[in-house]
Amino acid sequence: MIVLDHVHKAYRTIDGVRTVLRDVSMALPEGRCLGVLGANGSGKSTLIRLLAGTEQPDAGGISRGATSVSFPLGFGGTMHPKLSGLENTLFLARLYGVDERQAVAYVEDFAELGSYFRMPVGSYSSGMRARLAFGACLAIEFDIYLIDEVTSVGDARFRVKCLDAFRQRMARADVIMVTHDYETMRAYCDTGAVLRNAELTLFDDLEAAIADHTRAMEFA
Amino acid sequence: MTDFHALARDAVATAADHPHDVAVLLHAATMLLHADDIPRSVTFARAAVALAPDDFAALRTLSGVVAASGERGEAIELARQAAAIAPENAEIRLHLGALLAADHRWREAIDHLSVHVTSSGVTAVGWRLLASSLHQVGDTRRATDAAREAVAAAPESVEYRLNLASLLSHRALHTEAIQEVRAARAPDNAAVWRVLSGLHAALGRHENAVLAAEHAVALAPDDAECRAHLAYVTGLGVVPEAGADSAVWSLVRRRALPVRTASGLAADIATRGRVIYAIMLRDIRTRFGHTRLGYFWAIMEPITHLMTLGTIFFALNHGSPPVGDNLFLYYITGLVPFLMFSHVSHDVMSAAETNNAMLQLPVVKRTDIMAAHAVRQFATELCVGFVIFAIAGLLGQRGLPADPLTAMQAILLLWLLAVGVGAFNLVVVEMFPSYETVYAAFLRLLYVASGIYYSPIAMPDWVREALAWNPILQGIEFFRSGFFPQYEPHWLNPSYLVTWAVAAIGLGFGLERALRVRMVVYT
Repeated sequence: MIVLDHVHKAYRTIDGVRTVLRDVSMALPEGRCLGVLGANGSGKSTLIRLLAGTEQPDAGGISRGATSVSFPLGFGGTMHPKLSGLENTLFLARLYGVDERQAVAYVEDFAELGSYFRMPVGSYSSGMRARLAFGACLAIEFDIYLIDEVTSVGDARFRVKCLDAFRQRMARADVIMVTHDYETMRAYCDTGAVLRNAELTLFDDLEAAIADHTRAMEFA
Repeated sequence: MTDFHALARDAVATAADHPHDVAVLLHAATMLLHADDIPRSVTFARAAVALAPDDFAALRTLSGVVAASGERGEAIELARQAAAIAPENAEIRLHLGALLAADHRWREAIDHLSVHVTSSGVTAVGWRLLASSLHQVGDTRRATDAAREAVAAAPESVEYRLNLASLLSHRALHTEAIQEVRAARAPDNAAVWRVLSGLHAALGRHENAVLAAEHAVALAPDDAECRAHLAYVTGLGVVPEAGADSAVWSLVRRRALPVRTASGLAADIATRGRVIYAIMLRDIRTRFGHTRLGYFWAIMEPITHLMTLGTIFFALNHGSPPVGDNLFLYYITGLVPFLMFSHVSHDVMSAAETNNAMLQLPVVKRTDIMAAHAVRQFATELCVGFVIFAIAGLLGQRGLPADPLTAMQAILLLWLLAVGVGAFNLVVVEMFPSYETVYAAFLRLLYVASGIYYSPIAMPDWVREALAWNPILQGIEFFRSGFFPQYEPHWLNPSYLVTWAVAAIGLGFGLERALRVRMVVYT
């Protein structure tokens, strides 16, 4: 379970300090899949990176206990452009201590990259890159998968494939997701959270979160 | 609150005393109108007009009270007469325009309102009326312009904005219309939500349309229009979504996760080792390419560098070496440790800029990258050293250290110093990127100050004492003391080097730990 304890996070920008989280304390629901809503620039991606641990809060702490949390999925930057999809998969498998051969076999089958799997990631289209990232992330068993804007992932057929794979995985793992696409969020998530004015509000029902967010956006 | 009944009574009494004073009669008419006594008000106003049939004020007042009595036709006629007397008057044009609009005589209303809005007494309500009239005659473009003027003149009016929004919507400018509704900033106004809902529906956003309509009904539960609208947009939403995937797009799940036991220190160490190993393998792949020959060149490059430098200095200087019997070997025993220090410190520092993408993986800590760089570079330098000294051995020179343990100690201490300095550099270069050039210049200074091509023995006492403060020179001399037999320089102080190495590691990694949060991970 991820617990936020008086977490504060702010950025210095040209326009002054922009606060993403102000003294946020909460336990994220366990056994549920959470969709995070917020206006553009409200800091949803930063929240995901804080939960992942790739960024540290300015004050307060985030404890994950024994929960293994994935890297933020959907962000292509984790893949080295000079290395092939295969080599990037090997790196991630070694990093997270999973069986290298199994991981490679899984990603090769899942990402449907064909011969591109053995070519540098730099030569991939954005859809191919996202497919590789999805496959590589699913090849590793995490307790919580963090998904940041998956709308870029290929065609409808592949989206359904991803959803199927995640549905199976959700029997033993959770998803925390950021996206502007409500339909995708509805497909994956059952609870919602709204990030607004550096405050994070949890809603037991995703629809309540979407309604609250939509209402606020009308007068943003 | 003003008591118009009392004021009207006083005004009527005064009028009774002055039955021929037009102003007094009009005042009585006005007060009676305010007191809602319209029939008597009309009587007084008619009396005033009878006294002064060409008086603008009398005609205007009578027109107003006649209109209030419901006689719109006569009110319009009176207003026309008044407007003829004072064609420049803005107020009478507005009054007449409003009367004509109420009578659905749109084109005549437009004529008078157009005069009103070009006069100096222009009002927001004038623009608003003109917008409606223009819209009624089908000139939506000019109506929109007029509505925009009305909003500009009275930006606080919600109704004006909704009017503008509905006109924009008529011209299919839905997005602009939504902006206008939002600009009204009236989240508690049911009409605002109803209009917004209509706009969303027009844009095909049924979901938002229903949400907004529901909100409108919640704000005004008794508003029949709102309820009718909700029924309408809800009806839009039941159109079945296309595609066979729709069954997949629903997922509700309630369950509990199995409880896990916390991992201990041993697991932490195993993780770090795994991560560092993975980074090393990835670095070798990315740096040295995909062939085994790639890594061969990674070793050959510094070897050729050493050979070239050593040969040049050997060619320039034919004197006997300070220690041992071969000047070339003497140079090499200085160059190999120095370049190891230089490369390792530089490589640990480079963990700052080259691997930010890797830091997107939360399992990777910056210290892992630093450790991976330090170990990988150390391994490379060891290979270089073995090859170099093997060549020396094959050429009949001394290839093995006389005291391998001491030589190894010296190399290890220099490596630790390099790692510490590299860590310190990494923090500084994150804060001041130009520091990298400063450090490169500093390394060149150390190159001449570390006793590679000379021995401190040949230096004057004061120079030697100054040079002895250089921990790298100490490291090189320590290495030579292990490499050459019976070489025990009196300025050598291994514990001084140990102090430096420990301090550098402590300072470098301590600073990294303290300032980790401030170092930005670029995305």
